[in-house]
Amino acid sequence: MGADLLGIAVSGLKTSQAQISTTGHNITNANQEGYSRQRVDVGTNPAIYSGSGYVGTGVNVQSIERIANEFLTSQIRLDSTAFNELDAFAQKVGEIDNLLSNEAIGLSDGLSNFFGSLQAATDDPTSIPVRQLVLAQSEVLAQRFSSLYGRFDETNDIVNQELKATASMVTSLANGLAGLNKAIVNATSQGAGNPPNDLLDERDETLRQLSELVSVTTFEQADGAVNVFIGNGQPLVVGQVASEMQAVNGETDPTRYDLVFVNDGSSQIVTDSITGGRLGGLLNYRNEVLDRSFNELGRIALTFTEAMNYQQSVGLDLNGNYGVPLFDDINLRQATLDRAVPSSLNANPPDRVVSVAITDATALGNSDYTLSLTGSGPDGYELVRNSDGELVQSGGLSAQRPTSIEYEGFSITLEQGSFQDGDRYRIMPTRFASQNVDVVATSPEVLAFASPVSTVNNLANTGTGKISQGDVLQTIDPLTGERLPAFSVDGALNPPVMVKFTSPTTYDVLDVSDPNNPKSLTPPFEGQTFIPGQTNQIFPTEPGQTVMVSDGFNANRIPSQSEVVFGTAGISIPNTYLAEEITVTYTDPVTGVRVDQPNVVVNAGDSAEEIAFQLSSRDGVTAIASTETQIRVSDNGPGQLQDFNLLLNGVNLRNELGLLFSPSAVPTPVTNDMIADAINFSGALQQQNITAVSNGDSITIKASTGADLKFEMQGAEGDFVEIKGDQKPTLLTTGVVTGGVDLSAGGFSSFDIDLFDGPNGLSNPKTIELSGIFQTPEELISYLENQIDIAFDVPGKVSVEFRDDGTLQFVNNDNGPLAKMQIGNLVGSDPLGLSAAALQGVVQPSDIVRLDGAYQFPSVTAGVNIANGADFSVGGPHSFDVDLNDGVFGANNPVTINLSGVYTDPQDIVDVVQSQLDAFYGADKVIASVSSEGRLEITNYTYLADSSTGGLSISNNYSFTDGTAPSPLSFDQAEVDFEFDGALPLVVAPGANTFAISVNASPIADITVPSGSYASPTLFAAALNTALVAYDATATVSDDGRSVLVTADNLGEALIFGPGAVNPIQANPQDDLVTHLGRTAVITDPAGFIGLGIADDENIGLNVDGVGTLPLPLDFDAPGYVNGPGNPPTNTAELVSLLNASFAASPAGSGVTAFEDGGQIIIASSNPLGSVLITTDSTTPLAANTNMGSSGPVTSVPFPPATSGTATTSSFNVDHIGNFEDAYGNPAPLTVVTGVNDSFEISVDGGTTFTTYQIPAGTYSNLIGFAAAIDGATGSDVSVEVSGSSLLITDSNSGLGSQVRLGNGSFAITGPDAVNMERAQIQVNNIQGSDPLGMQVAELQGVVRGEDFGMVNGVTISGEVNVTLEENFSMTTDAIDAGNVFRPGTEAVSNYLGYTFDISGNPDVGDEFFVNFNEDGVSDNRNALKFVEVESMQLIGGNASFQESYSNLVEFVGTITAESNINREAAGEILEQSNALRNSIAGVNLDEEAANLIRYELAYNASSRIISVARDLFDTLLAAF
Amino acid sequence: MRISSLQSFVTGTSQIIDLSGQVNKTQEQISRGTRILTPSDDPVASSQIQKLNQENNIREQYMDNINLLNSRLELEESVLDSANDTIIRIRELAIQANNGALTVDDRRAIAAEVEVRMTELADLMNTKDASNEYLFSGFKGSTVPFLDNGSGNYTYQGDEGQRFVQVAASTYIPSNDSGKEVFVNVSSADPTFQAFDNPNNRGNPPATISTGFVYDQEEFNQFYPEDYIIEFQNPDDMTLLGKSPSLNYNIIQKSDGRVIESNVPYTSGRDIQFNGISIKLSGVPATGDSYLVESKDTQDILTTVNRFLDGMRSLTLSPDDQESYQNLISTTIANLDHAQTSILETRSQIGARLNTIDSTQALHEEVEIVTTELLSTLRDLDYAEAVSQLTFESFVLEAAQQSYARISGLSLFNSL
Repeated sequence: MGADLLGIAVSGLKTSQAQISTTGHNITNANQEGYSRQRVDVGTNPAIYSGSGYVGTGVNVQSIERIANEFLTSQIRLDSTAFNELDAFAQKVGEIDNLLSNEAIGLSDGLSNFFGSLQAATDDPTSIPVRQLVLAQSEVLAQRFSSLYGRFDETNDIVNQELKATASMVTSLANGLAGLNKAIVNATSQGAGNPPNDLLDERDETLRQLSELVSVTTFEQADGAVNVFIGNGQPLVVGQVASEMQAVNGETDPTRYDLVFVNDGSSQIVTDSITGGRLGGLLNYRNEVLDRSFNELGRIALTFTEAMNYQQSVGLDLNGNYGVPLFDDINLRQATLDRAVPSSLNANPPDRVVSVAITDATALGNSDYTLSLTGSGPDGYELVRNSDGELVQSGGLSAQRPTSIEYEGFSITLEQGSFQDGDRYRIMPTRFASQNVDVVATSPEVLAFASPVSTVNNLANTGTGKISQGDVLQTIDPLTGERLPAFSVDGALNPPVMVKFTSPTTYDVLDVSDPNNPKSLTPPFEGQTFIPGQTNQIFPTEPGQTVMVSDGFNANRIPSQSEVVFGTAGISIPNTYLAEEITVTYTDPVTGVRVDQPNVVVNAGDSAEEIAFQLSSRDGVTAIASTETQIRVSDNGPGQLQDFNLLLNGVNLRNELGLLFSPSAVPTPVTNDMIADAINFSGALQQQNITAVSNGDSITIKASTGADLKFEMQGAEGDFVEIKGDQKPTLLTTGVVTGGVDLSAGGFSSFDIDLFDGPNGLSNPKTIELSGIFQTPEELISYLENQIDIAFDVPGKVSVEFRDDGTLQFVNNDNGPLAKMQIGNLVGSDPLGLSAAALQGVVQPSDIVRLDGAYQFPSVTAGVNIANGADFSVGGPHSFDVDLNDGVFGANNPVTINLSGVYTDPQDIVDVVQSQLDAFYGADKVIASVSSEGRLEITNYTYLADSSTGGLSISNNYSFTDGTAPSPLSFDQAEVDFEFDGALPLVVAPGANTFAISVNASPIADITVPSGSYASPTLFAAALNTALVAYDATATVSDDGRSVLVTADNLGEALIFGPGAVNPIQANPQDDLVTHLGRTAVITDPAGFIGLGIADDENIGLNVDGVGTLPLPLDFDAPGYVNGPGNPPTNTAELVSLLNASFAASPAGSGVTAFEDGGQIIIASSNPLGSVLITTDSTTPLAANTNMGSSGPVTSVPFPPATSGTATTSSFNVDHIGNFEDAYGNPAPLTVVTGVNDSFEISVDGGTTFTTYQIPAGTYSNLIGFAAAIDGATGSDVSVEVSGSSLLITDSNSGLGSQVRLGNGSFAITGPDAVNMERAQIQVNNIQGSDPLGMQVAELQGVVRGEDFGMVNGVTISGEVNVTLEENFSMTTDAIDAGNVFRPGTEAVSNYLGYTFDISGNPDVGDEFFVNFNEDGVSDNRNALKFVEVESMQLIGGNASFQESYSNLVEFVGTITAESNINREAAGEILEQSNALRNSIAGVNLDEEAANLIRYELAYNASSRIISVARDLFDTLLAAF
Repeated sequence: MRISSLQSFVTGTSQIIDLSGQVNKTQEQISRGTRILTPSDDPVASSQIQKLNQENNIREQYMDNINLLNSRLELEESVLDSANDTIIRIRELAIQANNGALTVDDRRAIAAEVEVRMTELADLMNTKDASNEYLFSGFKGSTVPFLDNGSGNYTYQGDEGQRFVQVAASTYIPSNDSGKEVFVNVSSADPTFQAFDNPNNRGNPPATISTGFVYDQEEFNQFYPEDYIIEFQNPDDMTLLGKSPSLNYNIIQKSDGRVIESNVPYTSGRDIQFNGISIKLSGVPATGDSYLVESKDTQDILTTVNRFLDGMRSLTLSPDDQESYQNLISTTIANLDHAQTSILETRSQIGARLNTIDSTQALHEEVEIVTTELLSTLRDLDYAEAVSQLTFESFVLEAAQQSYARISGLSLFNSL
């Protein structure tokens, strides 16, 4: 029993010891994190049955347990994870929070100061200091952008480092756990299932530490090991095996580390699946705050630099240059490449090039994107927005490279390389942008504060319209990066434009590069609608609107000459548009769906007006039609009543002229001006909106609503109408010019360019001199153009271009209606290959169509002027025959016209002739009339069925019975001139002051000059008039008040001064007046000097200064006479020179001078007392119509020098055009007298043998006849053509090497002479030289036939259609032919110019507004104001200004920071509570342990007492023995 | 509840740390005088503050602009005032000249003063501002606005540019007036014309065209508003018999290019008269040189004065000339009145601008007060509250520290 007692005591001691140890263990570990207090589980030993009952056997230690709660342990893990995540997040975000709001670093102040400096610049844009400040502030701002970026970047680096450190901590903790698992499993099995408390604590603690880093899930195995998983179940620890966690360079962005889970040698990126703990916090921070801050800042930087550079680009700097970028371009090559980073997982080879360009910074978001190539092969893609993981765009890719993917504000371009399925790219449009803000502008002058355009209100405007100052939208085409055409020329608007109002509600916009010659823009911008009283924007502001222009102006639409319709008046002349169908399509910009509208059906021959009307009925289409052409009329026929009829759209313009003037007074020939007036006068044409403007040389006709212009033309031979399109004359191309050209060698010295720009399109060649050595084509061209400009004296008439094929091209820039060009007269060797250009001949504008007069009313014209009447009373009978050949089968049917009596009015002569014609032939068959030159015309108005025999002829079967001539009449309005020296009164002494007057050839009366004293010339004139009252003569005072003129009033009257056989032309009265009067004499008949009738044997007497007659023998044999003996003067100048020579030769002629004035010859004495009296001994009065009776002028026609070239054409100039005429302008034959060398040689087809041909001598009525004679003489070898005033002789074989060579001789052409006139068998008294009706000339015209009577040539000009398509609308046509309204392949072009302006108010017709380049606009601040406006513009993402966007970022970060602080505190509280809970269970309370210690000590002591008692018992017991 | 020893220590210290953090923050708020230390303290208020600060910056710039604008407009007004005085004087002279009894010498004497006044007027119209820019040449600040072409014909060289300065968010005030608007676009008593040299003329030196005058108003009116171009032709075009080629010109109707007089021989300084217009060309023109005669119903001030001057000097006492003289004087007086009206209009516009500026300035000042108040409300610290809070917080901190010391001293082990 005693043993039992001891055993019990020992068990008590053992138990107490264990308890004390455990308590001590607890006390010593009281400060250990994660330590769970331990407790000894004590069990009572089993009792032993002793018969009387069970006796206890003491106590034992069953196990030592930890007081730990699994639930709380895992709760703490969760709470730690949550808290540490928020803690890490809040800590990081707080840093940025401080950064953004810092005034010294943040963007806000930088932006404020920058725009502030710009404000100052608006006030004083020329100030350099102010500009300097703007530059300085841009630098500051750029620095702020990059320093903020720098700080973000540092933060990012720190995050990377922390990720790396944390990942390695995770790895080491995992390793620890694996080790602990092993130890625990071992310990558990060794300890017979007793828990290894401390190891478990340690493992719990390690797990807690791990959960601070990352969120974990645990699973306890049966053997006591714990498996740990992270992320999406990645096994970090399984049993005794740990995996590894690493932070490595990011897969799609090396600067953003990825977390990698390495298990058994294979690694897996787990960044996206890691949550919680510090790792989760860092990743959240990076995704939610840091990326957004980077991108937001980058977006501001991009938008800002783009806006500033844009603003620069639409402005002008202080030097008048277009603004250059202020900051680095946002799409620099490197920047575009940096924006796309390939995944490190992309398959090899790494040969792909991807770039990202910003297309519109204002549309950018603030996220990164991931581009994945998907599908089978790289033909599909997906674009995912990283900020929210949303698939924002997907689609197919073209196999072509480069190919682009457009998304909000940026464009990804797959440039080249072996793109493969599965390739991924991180697209970062905005991330790096703020790093790259660099100021590139260097000098303050380049800041573009002015606007490039300047507008002008014409002060001459009569309306109240006002033009705005204009807005420049773009100067650079975003697609090409090139300047828009309008701004492509430095220092000028290309072109400057004018808005011209064609009515109060319509206007044209025209190109005024040449202010005197406004022309259409390309594409045209005319006929636009204006709403009066409102502000009207003139140009489109979006590039999307396009314009299509039909090719109605194209040469193809002007019928060729062969298509001119010929027929009777009123013929159908359709326009030549073909039928076509036009479809207008709308394409939805978002969905790409196309919707066709019903076809517009164009029928063949529809006018532009009709087509435009139809097109305008479709949505999205505004069609305007207009027709414009230039014509030029040439009416060379005399003014027959029916001659030269031009009908426009059925309106006979001659009738309109008849209304304008009076039918009988329509002037002839009809001029361009008259036709234009007639068009504008016509009410019918006004209704068709047809107007015409003539500049004298040509008429521009415009139908503003696009009506067809149908021209029909009737006229006489030689009359024509030329109708012009708008194509330039064709070009001439030379042979190949290679490398440098040496023009100094080979005697190459000159060539001619002829633009036929002489009067009436006459040849007007200019010689271009050549010399020098040129190394490059540019030098040569510059030299040539300079020489050409010098030759023409007007720059740019002909330009020279160097073409790819090595040839030079001469471009005729002369846009005259008849512009054509020829190169010829090459001198010297030909290094420029100009002969090739010369061989191309005369190049005419290809689109001129010419309507020729249809030989309608041929007339025969008498050659002598009957304007002054004629006297048939003497001699006679006077008659002539007119034969109309209208007998049976065209047989002769002559009528004799008889004339007698005296006629003072030409119309009387016409009436006499007409009445006899009518009596014989019937009315309106043959018409007599008088031409504007005063000649009698007889016109055939009869059309015979058999045209080959019909005709009209006049024969000279009249004669004068007595052989005397009809008395000629002197019909000049002679004047007597009393001249004063200005001194008054005027005294006329009594005496024989008389002069004679003959009225209407009636007997001569003497008029006595009334004597007396006259206070003024007017009173003297009044006195003279009293004397003259019986005669139709008037005395008037001259304009200068110094002369009194006596003038015969009526046509047909003559003043003959003085009676007698010798007719003194007494220009001044008698002696008593001499002191005051008549110091000059006038020889009238100005231009027609030839007709003065001064014969070789005539004398003109001159009484000078009253001294007596100074004989003025017009002795043409006199020595010193300019023309040599026997040759009378041939022009006025020569006569003047002769007279002066005579005066000089005689003392009496001292102080007397002859000079020409306005076609008169005035002889004046310088002696104040002088007078001049001209007498003549000629029986022929000085009359205009007297033939000189001697040979006409002789024109010598030299041949051009022989040419050694290989031209197949040669030409020579006859210096004459059309029919040859005599001195009166009457047709007269040409006599060719040939000389020895008048020959030319031709070698055919390169042969060396030349055939010589003589110039055929003979008489020709015109050049054509002469040319025909040459042609006839040369047979088929040579063709001869008339070109202007030249004859072109061409080898008609024109084979290789053919040559035409002209001889060196000359031949003479002589004009008509008296001998030839006699040949007309008209009995004419040669002394009188008068054939009152000039019938000899009429006779020479022979039989004139009227075969084309009544026929017209016609052509219709169709207008152009100008279609404006709104954005997203397009137009297609089924046209397959250029004959359609729209030529196949016609493309719509944008009519966007890059600038616009407004016009408001009420402009009037003709008001003009101009837009020019803003030259010298240094004080302009318009663009500076625009710069300032940018500050408040909502550019960021289209809804926030820079400052707002930055504030939003600050506010966002602030809010997140505040929120994360609160969350962290809350999580901290929760963690603390959990900790407290756990600690309250598992933690060691020292007081408690102290109490336990005492308790266990007491128990121990007590157990010891039991032993002592037992010993006592034993002692007692032993003592008992 | 059981409290573990570790827990009681940890809790105690962390509370003290929190408290001292609060005290620190309150202290920083007091020392910086603002209640918002970082945006996270009050994100909404701080973004408002940023916005208000920015508005203040812009407003200051507006105020600067207003000051500059004020001085600019005042300068312009004083120049216009002087110009008006000069015109009044010229008008007096015109009235003085309107006296039939004046001799040619009397007229010349008046003309002499008119010439001086004209130069004075031209100088005023060519005034420069402080930045050395011409006041009245629009945007072409470095181009002299009124330039004599050598024939006494002043033409306006500037443009129509009007510079605006921003004085409030959407208020832009013009800071200048173009000379064209003030001095050139002056309505004329009768239809008139102005003659221009073509700047591209190649004569060296180019021939110049005089101001000219309408010698026959009725004839001129008949063709009004046709413009004309005088264009020099190739000397070879002169078809005068027996004469060597000589300079000659065409007079062309501008509207349609019709030639109304062709190949007229040219003599320097000789009157060219057509369609009621009389004008002179002086110098040696080159082929292709051209001159524009533009009809209009406005006449610039200098042309008015110049024509008056020319008339006084060239018109004689003959009855015809006297009639022209009377017409000239009455037209001149009417045109000077119009000129004064034009200047007055501009001055009243300037006055209106100054008024707008004044009221804008007053508005800015008012808004500034309101903004400052608002800023203060948002940002500034309530010191009384802050100090009392600091006192309270330090009191709590002290209590916590003391109680910690006390509590940490308690242990059963002390009793062992």
